[in-house]
Amino acid sequence: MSSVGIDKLDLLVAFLRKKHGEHASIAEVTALAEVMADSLHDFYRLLHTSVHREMKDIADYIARTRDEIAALRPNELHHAHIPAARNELAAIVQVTEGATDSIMERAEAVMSAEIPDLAAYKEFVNARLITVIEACSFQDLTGQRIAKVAEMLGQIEQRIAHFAMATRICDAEGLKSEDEAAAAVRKRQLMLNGPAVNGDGNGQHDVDFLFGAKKPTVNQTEIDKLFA
Amino acid sequence: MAADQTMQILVVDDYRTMIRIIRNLLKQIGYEQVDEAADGTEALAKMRTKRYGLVISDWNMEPMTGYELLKEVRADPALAPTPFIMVTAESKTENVIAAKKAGVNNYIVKPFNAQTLKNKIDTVFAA
Repeated sequence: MSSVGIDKLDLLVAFLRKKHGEHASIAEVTALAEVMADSLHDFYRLLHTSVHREMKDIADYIARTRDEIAALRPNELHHAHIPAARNELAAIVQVTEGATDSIMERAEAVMSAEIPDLAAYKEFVNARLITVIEACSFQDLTGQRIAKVAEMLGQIEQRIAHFAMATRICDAEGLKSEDEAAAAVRKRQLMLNGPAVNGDGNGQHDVDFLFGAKKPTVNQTEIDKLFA
Repeated sequence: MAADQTMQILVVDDYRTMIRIIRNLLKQIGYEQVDEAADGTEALAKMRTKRYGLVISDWNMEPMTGYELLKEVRADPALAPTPFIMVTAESKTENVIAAKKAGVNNYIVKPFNAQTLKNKIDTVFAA
């Protein structure tokens, strides 16, 4: 409430104290009502301005957030980027599996070959080894596909980072779907960590040590490093 | 006790290629009798109908993991004596210790070679 309104109310309180125990006249009650009305008018005028300002701030925030969401282009992410990345990864799995099958098939054929004639055996082995070399071209294709996925992830990361910064949002707790939450619990309970990255896991020697093997002795490479 | 080269070995992995690799490595080191399962549930069903001399299992599979399979095997008196080797990319200490506590006989970290597989099988049957 404004200081004007408070001053008027102070006068009102002082008047009532002065009139303590006496009946007020109609004129005095009317005057009091006028003072009250004036005070409330000021109060509601200021309240209106304040609420209006608050509502405008909220409207501005909503408009800004809507712009930021539009800049995030969630539909494009949902309908284009993420399915494209998924398709690339599926293609990688398919290509590597095909190449591995092809290589293994040739290797198995060579291992089980029983050709007494040396020249015929050499020809047989060479023909299969050429196919093995050809199959290794999968590395080039998968490399290109991985680069595309990495680029898409980079774009998604950039947009999300910009969105989080612009809207100053914090990550919510406990908003995972039931499936996500159940998967997270299962992963934690069954220690489904997957392959380790950046030396996070143990090598075979460390695992052997946990099973009671003696620490491996220093090998020649490590000795050579000491003399390098 | 040396490993019996004619024993039936059950290889459990959800990657067909990995089963094929292990099958070839086992053949290379003298084990020809190899059966396969794509996850713990299938492996457990096979183990209840056929006797295996050794189980070689991956960890990360659906719906039943190798770790769950190991615990099921050790909890079943009929299956509990079966030697069990975990072959997995799960190489964190917590995984190795949990598997050891659950009764795994040995643990191989992927990728691995025929010599490592042979060493671990020999160690299990020498114990």
